[in-house]
Amino acid sequence: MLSAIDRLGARLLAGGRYAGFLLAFVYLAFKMLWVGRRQGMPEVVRQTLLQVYFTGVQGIVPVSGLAVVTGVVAVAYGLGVVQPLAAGEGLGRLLVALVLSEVGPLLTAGVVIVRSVTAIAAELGVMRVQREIEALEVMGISPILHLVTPRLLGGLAALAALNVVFAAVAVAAGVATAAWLGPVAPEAVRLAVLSALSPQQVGLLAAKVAIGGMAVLAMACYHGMEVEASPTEVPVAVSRAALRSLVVLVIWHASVSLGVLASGVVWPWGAR
Amino acid sequence: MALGGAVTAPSGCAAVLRLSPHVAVAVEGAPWEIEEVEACAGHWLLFAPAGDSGGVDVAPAVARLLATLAAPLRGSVAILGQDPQRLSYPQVQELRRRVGLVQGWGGLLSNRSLRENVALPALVHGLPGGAEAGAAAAEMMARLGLGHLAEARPHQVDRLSAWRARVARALMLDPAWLVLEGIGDWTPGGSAAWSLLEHAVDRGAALAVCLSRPAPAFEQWLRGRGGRVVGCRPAAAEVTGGGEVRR
Repeated sequence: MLSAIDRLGARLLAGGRYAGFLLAFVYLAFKMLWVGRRQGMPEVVRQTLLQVYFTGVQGIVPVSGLAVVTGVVAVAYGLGVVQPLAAGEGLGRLLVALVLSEVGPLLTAGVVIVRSVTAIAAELGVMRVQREIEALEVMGISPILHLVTPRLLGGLAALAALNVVFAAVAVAAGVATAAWLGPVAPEAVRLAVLSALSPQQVGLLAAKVAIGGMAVLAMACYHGMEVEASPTEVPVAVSRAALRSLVVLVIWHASVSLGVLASGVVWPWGAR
Repeated sequence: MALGGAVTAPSGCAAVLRLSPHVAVAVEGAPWEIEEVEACAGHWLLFAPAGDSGGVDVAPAVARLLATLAAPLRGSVAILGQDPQRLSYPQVQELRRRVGLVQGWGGLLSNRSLRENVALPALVHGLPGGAEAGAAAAEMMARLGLGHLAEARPHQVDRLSAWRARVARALMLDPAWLVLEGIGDWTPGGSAAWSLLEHAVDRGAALAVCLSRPAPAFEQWLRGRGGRVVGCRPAAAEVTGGGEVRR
C-alpha cells in the first residue's frame, strides 16, 4: 500500500516537474522575442509563416473532411434519435454544444498532433543529431528564437484558423443535412447556431483551443530539442511527443468541459 | 581573470585563447586533460591526442570546448578575454559572433541551400557597412570553388564540398577565433579553403585545429607557420562537475 502511494507520489512529482519544464520552455520562447529582437527578426517571421503554411494551409483538407463527417453525423443523429432536438433550434444548439465546442477542437488538435507535432519533434530531433542546432548556437543565433518560437506562434495561429474552418464546414454540412433529411429549414438551423453562440462561449472556446494548442506544440518542440546525439533517440522523441500531447489534450478538454458544466457558467442547452 | 576586456599574454599580445593548467573536457563520458596554452592573434594551434587516442573521437569535444559550446569539467577557458561560463546568454551570443567553428561533419541546415547556409550568419547579424548577405555569401562560395553548388542542398553535395561550405560560413563574419574540427581538404600543396584560412590568420585571427588522431604531415606544415601542438590525454584523476552545452 505504502509503495503504491510512493509510486503515485513520484508520478505526480514527475508530472509537476514536466509541466514546469514546459512552462519555462514556453516562457523562454516568448522572452526571446524581446531579448533577440535585433537577431534577424525577418527570418523569424519567415519561419513563422512557413509553420502557418505547413500546419494550417496543408491541414485544411483533412480538417474539412472530418468537419463534414462530424456535421452530417451530428445532425442526422439529432433528427433521427434525439427527438426533442429535431427542430431548428435544437439542432443549432446540438451543433454548437457538441460539434463546435467539443468534437471540433479535439479533432482539429488531433489532426495537428498527427501532422505537425510529430513533424516538429522529428525535425528538431534530426537537427540536433545532425549538429544543425549546434551550428546555430556557435553562430550566436538562438535556436529557441529561430526554431521554437516560430513553431509555437505559427502552429498556434494555424490551429486557431483550422478551428474556424472546422466550425464553418461542420455547420454548413449540418445545415445541408438538415435540409436534405428533415423538414427543418436550413435558415432556422443557421440562425439557431448563431444565437446559441454566446460571447462567453466563444471566449471559453478560444481559451481552450489556445492553451491546449500551446501545450501540444510546446511538447513537440521540447521533445525534439531533448534529443542529444543518437539517431535512435528521434523516434522515441516523436512517439513521446505525440502520445503525451494526445493524453494532455484529452485531459485538458475534458477538464474544461466538465468544469464549465459543473459551474454552470455556460450551459449548452440554453437556460437551466 | 578579467571579464569583458582583453587578457594580456606574457608575450604582451592580447590573448585570444587561454587554457588554465589541467583543463579537462568530457569525451564520450570520460575526462580528457588538455595542456595549458595561450594563443594570440595570428597564432596557429593544433589540439591532438598525445599518443594513441584508443579510437576515441576527441576532436568534437575539444572543438566544442574551444568554441564556447561546452564547459570544462575542470579548469577555466578564456576566449577573446572572456570566460563564457561567467557570461549571460546575450553576452555569450555576442562573443560567439566573433568565433567561427568548422564542424567535422553535419552542421549545415538541411532545409536550406548551401548559399542560404553560408549567408545565414550575415543575414541574422548583418555585415559591416550593410553589405548584402546573399551577395557576400555568393562571393565567398565562388572563392572556395562552390559557385556551381550554390543552390544545392547539403545532402546533394560530397563531404569535402560540405566542409568547404562550413568554412565559408565560419568566415562570413570575419571571426577573431577560428576552430576547425579536422583538416578537411588540406593537402601539402594547399587548397582554396586553406588559402582563405591562412588569409584569415594573416589578417589577425587565431586558428585552432582539433584532431582525433595524429597527422604528422599537417603537424609539420603547421609548425612551419610557427604553430604549436597542444597535447590532450585521458585524465588520470577522477573529474566531476562541469556543465554541458549552453543553449
